[in-house]
Amino acid sequence: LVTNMVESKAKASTARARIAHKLARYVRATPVHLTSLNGSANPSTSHLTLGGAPKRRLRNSQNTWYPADDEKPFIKRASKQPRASTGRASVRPGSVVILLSGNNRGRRVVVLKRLASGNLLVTGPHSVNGVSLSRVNPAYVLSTSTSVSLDGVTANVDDSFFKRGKRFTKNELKNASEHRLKVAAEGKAHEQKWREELKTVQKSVDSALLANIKKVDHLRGYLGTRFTLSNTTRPHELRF
Amino acid sequence: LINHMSEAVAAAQKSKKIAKAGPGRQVRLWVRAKFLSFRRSKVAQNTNQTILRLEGVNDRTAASYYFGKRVAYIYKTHSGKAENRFRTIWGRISRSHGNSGAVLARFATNLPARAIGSTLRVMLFPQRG
Repeated sequence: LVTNMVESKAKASTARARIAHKLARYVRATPVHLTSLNGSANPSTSHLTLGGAPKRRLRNSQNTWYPADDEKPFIKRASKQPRASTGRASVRPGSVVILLSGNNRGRRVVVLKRLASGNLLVTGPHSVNGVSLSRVNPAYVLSTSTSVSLDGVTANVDDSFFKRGKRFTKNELKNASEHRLKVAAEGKAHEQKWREELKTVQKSVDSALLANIKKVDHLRGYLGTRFTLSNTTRPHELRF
Repeated sequence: LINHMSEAVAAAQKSKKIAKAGPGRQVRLWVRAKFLSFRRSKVAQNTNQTILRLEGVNDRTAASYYFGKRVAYIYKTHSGKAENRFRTIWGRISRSHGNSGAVLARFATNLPARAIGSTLRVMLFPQRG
């Protein structure tokens, strides 16, 4: 730290010493040989004009080292939190998308909304193509330009709705502990309750949605048909 | 329950052509691709990278649609139960290869050499934008 500390003003006459004073981070208040044993009330400030800006003074009575420069202001940087994704621009509530994977691949379904987890809440509607209320990863979906009006459709469903009860395999339940049997029974009860709840929510959502679908010519048939590639279709040339 | 089955089961059921529960014929949601070769020079090949020729893709701009898309190599085995007899190796299309629409793909584990000349399935997912 020798380069950061400048001993005294006395040697500041040489160019090198003046530069050292300017660049020093810590400056002695008074030269060492002038420092009394008890120390003065306030450190000498006669050197403070050297280099221009006044340097900060220690409040204590000892002539000790103190930082030469003004304190740097502490700037609180915005923490590097990832921003919430806005999702795919081409997929909006009400748009019709084609499922690319899973049991219902090829099915054209209606997007109801984007859930907090980033997945899409979709419904067939169930009576049209057998797809019930479910969550879909937006990357596994082909977006189309077709959309359905969502007037009067309220889907008060979020990610917690899809939390399922714990299920165990037959082997896991063999000689199971009491705790496990209890959890299994709870899971089964939750599952039954969930299926009934799904039916009621599905009905309420689909009835409103079907009314909107019927207003558009051919839309019901369109949603009931599955998408497939043929020998002549090229996905990179298709416009959906 | 996110509407996306585990890949192995999905691929197995696709290739076994089981009529799914409910009405509807089989749908093809993948593009056929020929496994031409490993990326290579005259005397040495890099088995980490495969060259694929996608059906109907004839130039670099067309090939760029398929970047990032997942590719499946599906093969049959003798062992295992019926539902486990079809197995897959998954990969992704990473970049184009040349100007005529060939692409390079990398797989989770390198493809076996006997796959050269076979048809791979280039899925339409993940979709971007």
